[in-house]
Amino acid sequence: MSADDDLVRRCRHGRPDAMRELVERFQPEVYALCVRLVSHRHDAEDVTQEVFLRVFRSLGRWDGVRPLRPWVLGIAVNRCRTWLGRRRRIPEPVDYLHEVAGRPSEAPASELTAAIRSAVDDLRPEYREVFVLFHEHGRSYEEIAGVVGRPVGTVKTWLHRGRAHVLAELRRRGLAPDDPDPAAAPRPANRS
Amino acid sequence: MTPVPLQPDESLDRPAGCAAFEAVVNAVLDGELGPDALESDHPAGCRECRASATAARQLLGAPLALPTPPHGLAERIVITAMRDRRARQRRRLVGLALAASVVVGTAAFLLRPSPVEPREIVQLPPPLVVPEAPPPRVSDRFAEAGSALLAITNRAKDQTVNPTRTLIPPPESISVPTALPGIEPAAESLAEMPEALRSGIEPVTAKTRRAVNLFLRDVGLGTPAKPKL
Repeated sequence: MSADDDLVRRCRHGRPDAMRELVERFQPEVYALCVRLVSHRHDAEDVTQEVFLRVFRSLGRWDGVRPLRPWVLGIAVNRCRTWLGRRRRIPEPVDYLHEVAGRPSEAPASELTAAIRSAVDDLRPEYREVFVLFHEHGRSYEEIAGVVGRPVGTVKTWLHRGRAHVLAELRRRGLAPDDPDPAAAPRPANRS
Repeated sequence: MTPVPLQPDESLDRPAGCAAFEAVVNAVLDGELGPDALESDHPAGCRECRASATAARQLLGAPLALPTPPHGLAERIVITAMRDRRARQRRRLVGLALAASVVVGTAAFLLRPSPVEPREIVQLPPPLVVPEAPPPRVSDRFAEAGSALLAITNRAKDQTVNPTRTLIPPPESISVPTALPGIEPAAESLAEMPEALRSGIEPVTAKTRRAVNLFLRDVGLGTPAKPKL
């Protein structure tokens, strides 16, 4: 029995320690994904809570052959889509691109980061999902395909289109000069 | 991993070198090629591709740190999940109890004894014993039929004869000349007319009776009792 199997079995028996372990194992990724997809921290907290409630309710339907992480992230992506759809139907008076005042915001480290996040926020939801999962969460194409429920080829297409938009936005903002800054050393993406 | 080819609409108006370099950029961003692949000859002579290479380096080097969850969120989630689990268990128990009560109620309704209301015992009068009548005999039936037919015939005869009696004056009102010159006395008196009529109709009733008797004899019932006229 794998560690995931054991954890799920204990959670299904209602063991609080197991539930806490599962939440603590996946909460950082789920929350980060929700923040990027719904573009609002308060909403992301609510969505994260919904995600784990849905996870605990659906543990009986988890296929023990598949790894648990993509399954949890898939639920997170679905809840974010539902949330975004609900938000489109009910217009909110606040601007979701701005953080709520009085909250310790994680200000972008640089203009470059802010420009990238702004460009990512402008992407279509499906492009944004694969871009965030690939470039921020370091997930592979296969994992992303499992999370979003699409073939790998579709994921590649979406990711390349999203990248093209982000790169074009960086060029438009003058953040990608013809003469590259030698100090900005490229780092390959960390794939887990 | 093979780089995904560019979309046709994007590559149509671009030189082949630019399209190939864009595939290289994607391969570098995918992690298939190292960043050194961006240092090729093509971007050195193409301003747009040089900008793309720079943007790719920026994207690779950008500190895209994951946002950290707020303190206490995990605890809140666990508490909410435990409450949700208890609430679902309670709902399930309530549902089971309701279902069980419905089943028990239905079974009790279906298996209930038939409603017996206390009734007053009414003493019924003893049934009347009607003596069984002897089965009717066919010969008697035919005798009755013959009598009825005879009665009808006699009635027809009476209805025919009686009106004619009014035409006959009473004997005392008739003055019969003792002797009329030139007229011969009547051979028969009018007073004999009813008897004459009766004797004329009698053959009819006699024939009817005879026909019935013949019929009874043919069916083997013998001669019924002679009806009284």
